[in-house]
Amino acid sequence: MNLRPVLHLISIMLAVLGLAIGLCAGIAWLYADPWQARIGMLAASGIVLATGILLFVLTRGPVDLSRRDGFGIVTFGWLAAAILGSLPFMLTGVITDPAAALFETMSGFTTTGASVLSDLEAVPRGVMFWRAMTHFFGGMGVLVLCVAILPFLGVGGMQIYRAEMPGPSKDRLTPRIATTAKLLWGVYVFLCVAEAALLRLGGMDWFDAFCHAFATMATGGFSTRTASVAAYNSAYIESVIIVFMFLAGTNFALNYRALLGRPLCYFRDPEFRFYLGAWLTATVVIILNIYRTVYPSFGQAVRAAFFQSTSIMTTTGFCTEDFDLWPGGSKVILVLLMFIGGCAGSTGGGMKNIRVLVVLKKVVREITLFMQPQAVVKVKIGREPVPQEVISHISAFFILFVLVFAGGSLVMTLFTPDLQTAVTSVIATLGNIGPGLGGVGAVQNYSAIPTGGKLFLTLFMLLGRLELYTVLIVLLPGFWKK
Amino acid sequence: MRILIIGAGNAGRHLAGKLCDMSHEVVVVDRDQERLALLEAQLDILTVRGSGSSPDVLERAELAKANLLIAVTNSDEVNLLACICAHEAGVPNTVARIVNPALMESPLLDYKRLGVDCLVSQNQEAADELFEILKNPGLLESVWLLDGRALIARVQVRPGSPLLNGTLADLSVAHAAADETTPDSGAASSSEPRQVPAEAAPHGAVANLMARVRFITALRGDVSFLPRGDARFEVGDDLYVAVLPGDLSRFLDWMYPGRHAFGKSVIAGGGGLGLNLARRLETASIPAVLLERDAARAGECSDVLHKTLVLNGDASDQEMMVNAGVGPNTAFVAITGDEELNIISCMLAHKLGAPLTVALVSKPEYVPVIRSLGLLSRVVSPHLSMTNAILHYVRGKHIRAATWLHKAPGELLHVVVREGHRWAGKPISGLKMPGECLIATVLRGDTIHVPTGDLTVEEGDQLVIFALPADVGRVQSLFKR
Repeated sequence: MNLRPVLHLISIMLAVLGLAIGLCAGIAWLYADPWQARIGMLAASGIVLATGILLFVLTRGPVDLSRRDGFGIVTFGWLAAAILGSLPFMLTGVITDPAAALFETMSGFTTTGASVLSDLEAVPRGVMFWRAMTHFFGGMGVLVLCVAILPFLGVGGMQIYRAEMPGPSKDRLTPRIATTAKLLWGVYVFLCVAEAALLRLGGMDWFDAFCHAFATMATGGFSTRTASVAAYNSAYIESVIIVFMFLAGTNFALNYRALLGRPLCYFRDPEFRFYLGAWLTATVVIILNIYRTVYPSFGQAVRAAFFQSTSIMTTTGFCTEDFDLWPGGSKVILVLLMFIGGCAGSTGGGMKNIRVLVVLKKVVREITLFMQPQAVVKVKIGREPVPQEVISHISAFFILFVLVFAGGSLVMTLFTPDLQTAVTSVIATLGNIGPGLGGVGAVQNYSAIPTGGKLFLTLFMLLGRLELYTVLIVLLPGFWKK
Repeated sequence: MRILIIGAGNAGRHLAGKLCDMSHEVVVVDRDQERLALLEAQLDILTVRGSGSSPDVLERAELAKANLLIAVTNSDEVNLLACICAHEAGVPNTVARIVNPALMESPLLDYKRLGVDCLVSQNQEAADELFEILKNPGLLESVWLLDGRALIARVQVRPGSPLLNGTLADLSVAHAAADETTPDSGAASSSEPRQVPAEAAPHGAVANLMARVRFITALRGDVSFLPRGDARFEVGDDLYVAVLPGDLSRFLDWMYPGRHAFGKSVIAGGGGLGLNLARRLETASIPAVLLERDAARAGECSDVLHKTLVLNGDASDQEMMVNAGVGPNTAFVAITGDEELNIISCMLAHKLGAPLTVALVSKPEYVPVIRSLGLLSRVVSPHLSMTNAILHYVRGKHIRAATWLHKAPGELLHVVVREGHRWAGKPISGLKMPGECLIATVLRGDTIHVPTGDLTVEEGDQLVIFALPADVGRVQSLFKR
């Protein structure tokens, strides 16, 4: 890895974040936050910006990035963002424990939405807005934003794009990666603004509307209320959020084409059809499971099931109901949805629908071969056969994901005695969902997890957001060799 | 500009890389998934899998959005069909590579009507250049400009060369002192008007010659530098020189004291290019030997060649090479379809003492490695002449054509000084050049003028400007209206 160009790009990203914190300091002034919050935000903005500028000056020179550097930039860029991005929490005194502040920031950037804060109404507005902004930057990828705005990256931009964008195949809208990044960010910002406007119509103020729009479109899940979306108790707001969560979990290349006036392209995409099918099936089963057992009214069951299944499957993690009180069947379905997650090229987490689909088709193929050893069966997505390397790559990812999950669950039992809490906290962070079950359930938060556990889960959020390989490659000794 | 390239072979890859570096939007179509994956990992481009002659594949590659289609697969049929489809889809410019020479010459096909704007053939252009090199010992590369009126030649500094006797400025002073008619040489940035009689004393002839020669760029190892007046040269430096075609042999005589013609030219490889070259050598009465591995093909070659000795044998066989006459007075050209064999046989010829060894290498990846070996005099990559033909379409309207040099970074841009251009009416020494650009030659009406400092640029002049890659954009904008 070439350290200088890697640090150079990270410095640009830090400068962008510094400016964003400055914006939040402005919000702190606007909403007349306590002085400690205003000064703290300003100081944090100054420190991050100064670090960025200093590093920028120290590492000037030509930027020529190899594939390896792309992985380095993304992994270390995200670590730096999480560490420096936690300053606003600490300097304003909102979160005093550094491990907890790091957890909260990483949770924001990776769009996990797991929180350590138990009283959100008491958090100053400026800090709250920064918390929502971390979602906004992390959702489409802060480094992809850099690729979009920096003209000089060229092939290097592609390395970054590849390392940061989720999904096995990177859909390109245009030949130039910078143009693609611009378009995707454009769609993302457009949908954020559209959702904020619709939420405003539903009675939220602009502040809450934007915070929730950021949290939805990034599939994050940080709410401005302790009770999450349940606090508004509005069917309209919940429907708006359901629609936008679903769009956020869809491939943004499809959203782009749909916005250009080709809405049918959604249904031509095999991954989208699978995503839609899995989502509807899960929701219907949950409705049947919770109607009468938990909710006496059918309407209430439908509303609760739709909101919760969308929120969990897209890995957003908003809550309107305490699904910890639901019957076991519904809980298992929700946990399974956590594994599936969103689509490739979306802001959602999890394993991604396309990978699950390929693995399932591969299994079907093997079973067919047991019965018909002479059969020539290809794994096809839509009408296109999937190349053998892609299948083996996806299978390896699937296995790795399960192994990391299993190993993580084992380690988490060291920090929390409850099996359900340990296991679901791992998948809720690895899949970037947020709430799990038991001690980290819908109405709980992560403040009770010991410091070691918090740091461990912080790593898992990063692993999940960057889809394992990007982070694991950096841990290999070969990565550091010239 | 959005450019669609059909075919991700050597030519397609080379083009995609060059065009991508020039910040064009490049889409590559090929049938081979692996080739595409490799290309996509290296370049910032979009790839589409499928046959380039199939309309649905072209549709997927968003043909209608393209400004230029370049079809460079190995199949003439696919290339032509892709161009025809593109023309129908409204793509303004199309270029097709043609392998079969009969297709180029046939009166049955009207390409303009079919919608193919440009046909490029690697064989024809490569044969022309190789012929030039074999005819003029010492010449390593020739680039013709302005419809054959001007020439950029690559030469190498060898022991005994007069260029080793001092800086360029020293040289011109020395010649001028000996001659006392012209005080400066072409290399310096300005000089007095010169009206030297054609029949001058020997030294005067040299000074006169030097006044008409422009040193464009030089290379030491892989590093290029601009040969200014204070430049000193070393043995092994490569020089690109703008020289009038009529002056070429005199310049080479000066450059290489004691130069004499090759006793024999040995060509390894009797394919289309080899046969073409051998026939050209026959018409110019230059003795040649053609080595061909395949007996049947050797027979075919023998049918059409009348003076050339055709040998059936392998160029990697030392005995065969000695038999063919490869030795200290022989030029050796390896142009078989097997690149590795070309390189090895050239190394063998070098060992046998051949003063000129030329290898055909299509894989762009090999070229820097071969250069670092330092054994071969010249590597011919057949794509370069083709890319030069294509560059013309990419550079846009205000630049007539552009040419890449083989070895040195930079481009030769062919521009026209339009009415009211800010350069018109100014002497060259008074021009503000973008970056490190250099005027290589000036065409006024039908005559070439040597761009000395006192020459005044006039409206309607055609200039060839040498620009380093970083300055190309600035030259372009200078000549944009």
